[in-house]
Amino acid sequence: MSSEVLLDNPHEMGCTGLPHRKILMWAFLASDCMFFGSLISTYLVYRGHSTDHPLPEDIFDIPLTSTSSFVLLLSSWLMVLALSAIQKGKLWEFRLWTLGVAFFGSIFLGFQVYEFTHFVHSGLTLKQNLFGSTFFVLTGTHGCHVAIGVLWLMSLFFYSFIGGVTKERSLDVEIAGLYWHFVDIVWIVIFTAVYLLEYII
Amino acid sequence: MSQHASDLDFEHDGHHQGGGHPSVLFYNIIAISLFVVTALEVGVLYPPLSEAGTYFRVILLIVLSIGKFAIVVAFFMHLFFDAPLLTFLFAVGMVIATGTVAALINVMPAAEHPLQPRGKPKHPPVESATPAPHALLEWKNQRPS
Amino acid sequence: MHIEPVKEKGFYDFLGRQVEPKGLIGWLTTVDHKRIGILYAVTALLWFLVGGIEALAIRSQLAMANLRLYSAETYNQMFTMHATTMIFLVVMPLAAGFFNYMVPLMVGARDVAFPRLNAFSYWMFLFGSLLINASWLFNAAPNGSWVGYPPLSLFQYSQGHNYDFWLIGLQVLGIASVAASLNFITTIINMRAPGMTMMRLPVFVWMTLVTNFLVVLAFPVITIALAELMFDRTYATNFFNPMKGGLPIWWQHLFWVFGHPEVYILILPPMGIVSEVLPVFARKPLFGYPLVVGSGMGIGFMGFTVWAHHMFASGMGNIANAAFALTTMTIAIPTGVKIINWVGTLWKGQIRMRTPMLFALGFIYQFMMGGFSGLMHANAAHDAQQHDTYFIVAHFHYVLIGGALFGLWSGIYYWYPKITGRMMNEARGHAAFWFLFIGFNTTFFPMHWLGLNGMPRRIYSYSHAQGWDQLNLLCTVGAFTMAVAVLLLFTDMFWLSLKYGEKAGGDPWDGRTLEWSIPSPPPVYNFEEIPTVKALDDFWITKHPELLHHEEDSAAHAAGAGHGAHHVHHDDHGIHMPGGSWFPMFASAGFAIGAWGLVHSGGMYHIKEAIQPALDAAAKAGVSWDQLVSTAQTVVSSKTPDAQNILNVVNAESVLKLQACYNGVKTAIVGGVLGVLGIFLWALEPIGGYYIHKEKEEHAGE
Ligand code: HEM
Ligand SMILES: [Cu+2]
Repeated sequence: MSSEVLLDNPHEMGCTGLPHRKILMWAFLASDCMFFGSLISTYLVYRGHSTDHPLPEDIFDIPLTSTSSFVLLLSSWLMVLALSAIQKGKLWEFRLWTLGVAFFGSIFLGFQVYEFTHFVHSGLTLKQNLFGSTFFVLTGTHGCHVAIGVLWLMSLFFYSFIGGVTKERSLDVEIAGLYWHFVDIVWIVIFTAVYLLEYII
Repeated sequence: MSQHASDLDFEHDGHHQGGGHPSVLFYNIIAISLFVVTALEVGVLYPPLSEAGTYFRVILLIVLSIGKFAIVVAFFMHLFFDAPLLTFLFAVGMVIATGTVAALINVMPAAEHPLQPRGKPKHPPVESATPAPHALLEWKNQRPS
Repeated sequence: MHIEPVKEKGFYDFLGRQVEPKGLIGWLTTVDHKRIGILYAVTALLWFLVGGIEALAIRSQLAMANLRLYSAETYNQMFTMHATTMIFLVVMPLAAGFFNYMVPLMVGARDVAFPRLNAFSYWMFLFGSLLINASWLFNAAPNGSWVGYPPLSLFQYSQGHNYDFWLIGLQVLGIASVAASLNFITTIINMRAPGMTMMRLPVFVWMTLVTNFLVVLAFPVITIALAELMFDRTYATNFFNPMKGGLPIWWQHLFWVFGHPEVYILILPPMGIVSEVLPVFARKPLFGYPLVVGSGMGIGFMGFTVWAHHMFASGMGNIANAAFALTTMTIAIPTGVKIINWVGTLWKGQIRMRTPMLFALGFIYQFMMGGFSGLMHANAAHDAQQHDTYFIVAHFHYVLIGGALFGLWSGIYYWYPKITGRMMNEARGHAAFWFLFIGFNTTFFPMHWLGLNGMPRRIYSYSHAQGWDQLNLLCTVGAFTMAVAVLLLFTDMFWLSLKYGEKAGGDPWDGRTLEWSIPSPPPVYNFEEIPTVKALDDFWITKHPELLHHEEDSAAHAAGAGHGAHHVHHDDHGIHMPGGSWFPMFASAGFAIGAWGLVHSGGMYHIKEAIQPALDAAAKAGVSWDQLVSTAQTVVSSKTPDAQNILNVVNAESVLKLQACYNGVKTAIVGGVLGVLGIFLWALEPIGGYYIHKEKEEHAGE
């Protein structure tokens, strides 16, 4: 952080040498661990409790979900590139990568919409059985997080055109990036716990 | 008030963020390794293995995804390079969350243990699930007349 | 002293942000932690009156056998709202009031890390509390106890909006709490004055930090639990629906994973207050500061390991019962450590029996009593006899009133001079203490016996034959005695002492912590110069260098320079203060509107399912939804089925209810969009504010 930022926003930096917002963000992510922990444990605890079909083995489609996992991973990659670009002051590169993150985030959401529609057509709804309730609420909440992230990144993208995103204010991007990567690691857990394990046990 | 960070930086070991950002090449290597691990994870599903192989696969999957998780947190989210305080903050949440989830899964009555191999679903499909009875309880006239 | 606004540009100017907020607008737009603290405390105290009236209503109904003062349904609403109010709208926000007012002063900062987020937290809390209490106006107050166990709270068994108000209201309050806690964690970690290392933080600040970690980690769990129940009620999911394999016990687990940390969220701040009050009035440093801090952290962490002691009677099995009994008994150890340290602080102290001290002493005794009864039902076998009886009621009131509330009252009497600049009257304070102390013990001690004699919790009435008459009457008499204490406190606090109390200087109690080093009430910028701290209890040591024992402290002070003479950074701009902002209130109002909508969408899919045949018939006859609604209106008002015989009277009522649900969803969307808009505008708003320039001669001498 250079001193311009401090003049711009004197309340930014604290006595540990870290900016306030970074501490806030990490504490929030700790909190979000409990949030997704509760959702994931709901899913796992209710595994095998459904009284009606369809069950996961009836409808999961691993190639599809694997593709969307790759897409989310790709967006995480672009996110670090975007941050690295803005930290070096390369504004155009930042815009390109950010747009890429938002784009792949949207593709991920598209996959999810497709998956949900497909499941509903196969008879799995929120109220059909416990699997439907737990699955849709878990992955839907994750999807909402992704959507918020896309909105956030697009705001940064547009904000960069009125001078809001600069090398000196790269913290804004870093914070958004932390959020984005967290959404990605939650998916890493969901992908394994909900989808992959289903194929083995 | 405009206290400069340096004035207030009395406790911290001077580990400033922005010290040295990892290079783009480094990020690329990390990203590629993440792709490889994900491909491995999916690949684990396919080779036909026996019962014993099932446990092996479960353990492998868990290890691989913990690895992925750790790599993203450490390098993409910079915890490895950043102040230890941030690692501490996140670890508090992770430790309590992991412990709670593990305890919850074990303390709940399971139809079958979620991490145990299972064959066919225990519950046969119910033909037409009867809708839950709607409340017939009338508490309004409690006063004895 | 003169004031110079920050030069701002942009479209925000039209809002006329006040440079130095004054009047009503000043309060509505305030981002000053001291004002927000006062708002929190005053709001909490108002809800305290409401919750107290509910308590008196409960005790009146139970005063004698076979009473029917009001209906059983109202009784259910009374005890549910009493508990919900006291926990979420009184003890938590009153503690938050102290966090707000005191933490920045105690760590030597000018404000919290995110002043506008802080204002947002307050407004969310206010709107959430109003929302949950608005249920009274619809005769739909939550009515299945503060733990909201399904299946009773499922739509199938509770078709009014009672539980929708509860679920959504708590959700809003949860957002407020988590936002505030993230803010305080950042403030405490990152805004300490130079030299204020973690091990020099006042214990109250430490307990605030631990409490806020608990909030941040426990509230997400209840957020999920509430969301799942809300989905069950509104979207007909099956999380807790036994008909489809759902397990109501899962709610109990999630609720108590949150619920037990929650009780520590309630007690840790008062523990911090008592740890501040005792050393001041025993004129001795706190005995074993590192142990008090460490055991606070220990309690916080272990608080996450004991939740299922609330479920011993639910048939979890022997292993789980034994494990949770063990962890529960273990958690009494750090609690005991604290009590020993408080007693050690009193030992050989020069004790001054002022009102704050009385309440602190009451706290120690009563909290200990509550701990003892807690230990009794920590034994799972024992708990089989005690669970859901008045014994439990006695236990948690000993820790919550005898503990938390006494601690908070101690804090009120202790910090009132700092906040208002006037002392509270000692005679009235003593009177209030004795009324509260005697009233409290009269009310709740007999409940131990009642519980052991088998009186269950949450019963509407009982018969003579059960032999509980005399003790219940005694409890009720005690409750009204406590009410006298509350009236004494309120008249004193909001009227007599506020108006006629003698003026308090900056340091009326000979205090130890930084807040006493500045005038009462503190100026808007708190500290003229950010102090430099050289030791634990730095302010006290500065005043009494002769009492210094500790070697490293004396070495630090050997340099001799007086307190606060250290300039952190000389700044020709003066002191920068942030300006007020409308957006925190705007954003939270948006979310509150959204929450209102969500409440009214409760039951949507269940209703739809119930009238599906009628809807199908309407679709077949080519009747549009709007037509169906207007038909339903005529059917309901004329009480005769319509000509095409699609809707009978019952169906028509359901159609109207469904229409109300749809409107609720629309309102929710509008509110959500407004809230997000508010956050965007707030993110783009410049800090602005103003600079205060102090003239040299105005420096207040110490
Ligand atoms: C030594 C420490 C403590 C122990 C061993 C302990 C133990 C217990 C146990 C085993 C129960 C469940 C009883 C039952 O429902 O059968 C219980 C209930 C309760 N405890 Fe404690 N407790 C302790 C401290 C506290 C503190 C500090 C608070 C709050 C400030 C508290 C508040 C409550 C409340 C509110 C309930 C009743 C919840 C309900 O069912 O509505 N306890 N306690
Ligand atoms: Cu408990």
